[in-house]
Amino acid sequence: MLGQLTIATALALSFLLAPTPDTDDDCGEQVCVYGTGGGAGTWKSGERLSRGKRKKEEKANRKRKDVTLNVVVEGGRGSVFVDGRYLATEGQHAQRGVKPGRHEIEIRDADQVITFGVLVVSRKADAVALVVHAER
Amino acid sequence: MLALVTVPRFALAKGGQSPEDAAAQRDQIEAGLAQDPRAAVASLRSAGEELGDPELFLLAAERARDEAQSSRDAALALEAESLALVAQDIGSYLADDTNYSATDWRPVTRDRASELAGEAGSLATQAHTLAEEIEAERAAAAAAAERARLEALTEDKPKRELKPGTGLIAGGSAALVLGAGGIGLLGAGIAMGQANQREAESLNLPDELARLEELDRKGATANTLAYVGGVVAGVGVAVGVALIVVGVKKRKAAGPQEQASVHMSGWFDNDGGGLALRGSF
Repeated sequence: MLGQLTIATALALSFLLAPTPDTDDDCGEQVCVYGTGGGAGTWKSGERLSRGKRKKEEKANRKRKDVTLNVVVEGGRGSVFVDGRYLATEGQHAQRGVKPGRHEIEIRDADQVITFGVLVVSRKADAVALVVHAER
Repeated sequence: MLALVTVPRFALAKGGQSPEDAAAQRDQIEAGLAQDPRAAVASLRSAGEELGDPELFLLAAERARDEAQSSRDAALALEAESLALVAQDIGSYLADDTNYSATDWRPVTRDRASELAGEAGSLATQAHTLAEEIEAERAAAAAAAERARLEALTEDKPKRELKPGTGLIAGGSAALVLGAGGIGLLGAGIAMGQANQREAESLNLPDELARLEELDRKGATANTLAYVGGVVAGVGVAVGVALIVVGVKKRKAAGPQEQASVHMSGWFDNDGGGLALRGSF
């Protein structure tokens, strides 16, 4: 847990400071992916993962190290769901360890889906942050 | 505030969550809640964020709303709204068939998720309205306090209460001043008459008959002045003295604290006369 918090802190600092060599960015129209540890990930907007594909991803990556994921919603409110489970956007439960590979993410405000897609987490990443611009 | 609730790990270890497991966890969490409503809300929020259970968010929102209502805390009402909105989000997400069937994380049944989204939406609206009501109350109270403060600043100093008999004494003093004016007029008339008389007695008649007639007219005018002055002086002094005496008596009757005194003196000589009035009210 301490290691994850340290990584999260480093990731947070990477937002504030100039880009560092070990930060990998992928910024699209509405969603930006930031990472530390030599990799980040890619965002595939509008894609879904079925239950079977989620199981398959889980099985294929079960022995790989966890990558700390956190999601930030800017320009509006919304709740984040990672592979069907709620993830807080702030506070002590705002990070979650996920395996590298594909994860379905949806951001929702009541009945309105702000965005959804698949985040492909790099095997090289230590921590990945997804920033969603709800106003775009 | 730190959450005091320990989430059972057996359910999380499976990599998913069933409605039955989540219900058992909720029972355990509710049993361990603090008596303090705000601490309970913080614990429920923390557990809800860890487990992603919309029922815990809804419960936290209800408790926050109730506490905000009784303590008139607008910030807590807004927190209740925020918690209810998260519960609504999770409920709406799980009410979707595609989402529900694709995940192993099911803290509630799909039917309950749909129902819960509706309840949470209503609660969010209530909490928002409550926050606005409380803010309006605060604004009204602040405005009333500001009005009272400004009124206190602009209000005239309390009028000094007049002592008993002050009106009579003041009126009497004015009458005495009028009387003094009358005495002055009387003195002037007499002085003018005497001067005319002396000049008339020194004339060479009948050579200065015209001058004598002129002095006669002036003497008549001086006599008129003296008569009018005498009447004004008499009435003024009499009325003034009477009013002052009555006023002083009235003040004395009101008590020893309300003493007033008036001293009057006058003089007459060959050149005229005068009246002096001195008093304390």
